[in-house]
Amino acid sequence: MPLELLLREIAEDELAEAPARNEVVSQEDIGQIIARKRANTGKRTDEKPS
Amino acid sequence: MADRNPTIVVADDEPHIRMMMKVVLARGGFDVVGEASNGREAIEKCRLLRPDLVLLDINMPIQNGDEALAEILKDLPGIAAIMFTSVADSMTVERCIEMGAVNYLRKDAPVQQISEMVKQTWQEWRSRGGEP
Repeated sequence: MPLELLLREIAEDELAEAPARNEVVSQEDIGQIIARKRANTGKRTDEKPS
Repeated sequence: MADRNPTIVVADDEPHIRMMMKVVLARGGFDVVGEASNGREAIEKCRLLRPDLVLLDINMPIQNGDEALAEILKDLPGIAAIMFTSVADSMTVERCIEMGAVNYLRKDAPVQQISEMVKQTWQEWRSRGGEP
């Protein structure tokens, strides 16, 4: 699938250019961050803390 | 809601990405009702089209996706906003999730996985009562 290859190339280029100011996280790590945030803040993660 | 496909706006400054995501999402049962090439356009399209979901790149000209996220959620609190980006540092991920993004997908994930994650995100969003 040429488009998929193109997407991966673009993504890899952008990832390589991204400033390494913070830890780069995997998709699995992102899932854990979301689960943690959701557990801390309830149903929706944009709720303001009281 | 059960009678129609969920609607989605795709925002990315790369035309090839938008084209590919339109195909992938359509195959996954989504109705891509709009496209945007920058954050400002994404806000305008969401205001106009009121989609169920928005897929937002972060690095875009004129206005970044994370800036657009805040405005979109202010206008449409029932929308399911998914970040779809190559920016994968932990601080940006946490900030977008705190702002209200319901998921954050790396662009380098396999296409089939991206489609499945968008579907799963939408189903979970609805099950949590997020349906507009």
